[in-house]
Amino acid sequence: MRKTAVIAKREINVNVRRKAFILGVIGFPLLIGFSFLVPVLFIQEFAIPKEYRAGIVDHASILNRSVIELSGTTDDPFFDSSTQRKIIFVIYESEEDARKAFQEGEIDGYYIIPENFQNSFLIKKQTQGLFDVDEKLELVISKKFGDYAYRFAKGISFQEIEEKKEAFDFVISMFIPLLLFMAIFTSSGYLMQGIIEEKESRVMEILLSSASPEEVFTGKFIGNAITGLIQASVWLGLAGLFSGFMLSVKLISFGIVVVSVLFFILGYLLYSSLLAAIASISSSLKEAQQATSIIVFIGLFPAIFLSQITSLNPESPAIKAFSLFPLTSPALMPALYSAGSTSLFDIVLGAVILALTSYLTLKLSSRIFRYYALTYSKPKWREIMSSINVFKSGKGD
Amino acid sequence: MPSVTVAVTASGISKTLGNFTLSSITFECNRGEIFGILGPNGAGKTTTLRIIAGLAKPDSGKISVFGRNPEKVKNYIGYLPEERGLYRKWKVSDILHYFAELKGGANTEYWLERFGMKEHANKKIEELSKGLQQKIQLILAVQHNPELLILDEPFSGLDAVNISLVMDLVKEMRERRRCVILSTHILNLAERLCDRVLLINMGREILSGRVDELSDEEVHEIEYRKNGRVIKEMTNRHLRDLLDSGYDIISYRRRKLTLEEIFLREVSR
Repeated sequence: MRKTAVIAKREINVNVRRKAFILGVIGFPLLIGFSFLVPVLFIQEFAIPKEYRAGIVDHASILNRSVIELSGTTDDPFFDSSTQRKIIFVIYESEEDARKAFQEGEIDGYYIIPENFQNSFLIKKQTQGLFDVDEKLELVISKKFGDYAYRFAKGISFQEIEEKKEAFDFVISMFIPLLLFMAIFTSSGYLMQGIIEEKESRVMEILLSSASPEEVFTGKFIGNAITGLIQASVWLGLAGLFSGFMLSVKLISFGIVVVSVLFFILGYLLYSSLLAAIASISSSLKEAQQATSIIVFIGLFPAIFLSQITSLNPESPAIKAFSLFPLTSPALMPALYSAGSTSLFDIVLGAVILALTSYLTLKLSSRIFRYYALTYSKPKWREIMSSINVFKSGKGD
Repeated sequence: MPSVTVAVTASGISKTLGNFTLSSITFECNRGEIFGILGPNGAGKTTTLRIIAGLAKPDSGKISVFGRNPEKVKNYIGYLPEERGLYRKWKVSDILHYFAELKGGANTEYWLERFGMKEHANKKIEELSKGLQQKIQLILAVQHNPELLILDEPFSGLDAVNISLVMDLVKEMRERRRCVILSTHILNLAERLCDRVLLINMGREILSGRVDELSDEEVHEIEYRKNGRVIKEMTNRHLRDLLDSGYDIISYRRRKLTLEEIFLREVSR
């Protein structure tokens, strides 16, 4: 146990100093952020109308005009734009009228000021997604409440009439699998690279003369899992901050974190044991990378293709089957959970199937590692099959 | 670690690796002894040493180190592999401390001083010459003061100075009642160093025993002049017999067979 801890600590130390790790931790969120913000900027510049019309249903009779125009504003979401936009508030008699106008596209969103507004300071709203004019409305209302201006220090609370989840389904279904895929494969990749490097440099022989193969294997496994968790935590944290501050939406909930971490650990166990087995029987990094590319494709498949289908029809039987299939479930199940498209039963079932598969591959991989860690030529398939016979005793190792 | 006299007991150990088979090797070596496992390349020396070091399990037969399974006593074993390698990007001190921690403690500073490597402690491995890297490998094998030191081809690639350093170290370990097992295909060095040897070829034991008792066979080495040329050869004939035959003898020496000669003789049988 002590030796396992020493090896795990060493793996973490080495990995967090790798350029690839540092670039990954910082570079990947930047890449995701960039690929997310560029379309937003594009939409903002071309898709948001020059004139933004918002309906108001004023049950509290605060606003006495039927139309309020604010011009020359540059208050766009995410970035200040050079485009000058006009904001027009149109007063409606009833919620029914406002909703009809919204549905027919006459207005871009509407706000409902309740009768008891002066007590609650709560306004309900319905918008098209990412963009709203909350602050502008707050400004308009505050002018009517000169005597109560101090109350606006706390600000008005805005509440969506309908959760605007749909707008983020695509983001979530793309982001979660991609993040998990990256975290699982970078940490599994470090494990594979470490084994190959130690084989190639012949350090493995000294290492195995100091600790048992099981201690070396477990230490490497734990160390790389912790590295992956550090990476995933940073990414999840940044995603949480981004969604909280920039989008005012709670993209990352406690439930998502729990499910993501559970499937990350199980997915890491599965993929890293597969990659460790490949590393053990490979004589060079190039050879190992060729064999790994097939597994990477299988892992990448849900992240790239299935997520698109998920956002369209998360209930389809194919999606459900892939979410339970061990090679695709680590990335797909958390995405389905975050989109609210899976049951607790499916999550538990998926986790159990993945855990059992991971246990089996881990056992086989550990055996292959023990057998081939000191073999520098490529073994024959017949030899490998013979060595992974789990029912065989330890003899011959 | 129990203070048993017998350090390693191998009884009929066999192992098959691909096309190679190590067949039923039996030997015993003790504390305060230098034991050589000798043979040409591909004889099975490394496989035998890996089995002793607990890096591989035999397919059949029994191996024990200080009466126990070698895997359970790795902290008491120092091992220098034949193919040398280190973490090239790491500092010398980091590597030594890492393996010291794995072995449960070591006297790293003493050994750095002893091998004149203290000034290189903060250098990266890739900054060191091959000779200095080999010294680090040697420190890795001995820094935790092992009870059993296993050296696989310790002289390969070393210059005369470093060969002498290794030989001194091995002798010092013997004086400190440690058991040293080494393999080499340089038989004359082994002859000078080892107390007992095991000769193997193609995975099979050829001969074993004390170096000075391996052969009581004597050879007669003569140097004589014939037709103006100086000829040197070995013969079974005695000096009197040669003189009676009219040989113009320059020198004559009676000696025992060297390890190399014994080995060649046994292989050719």
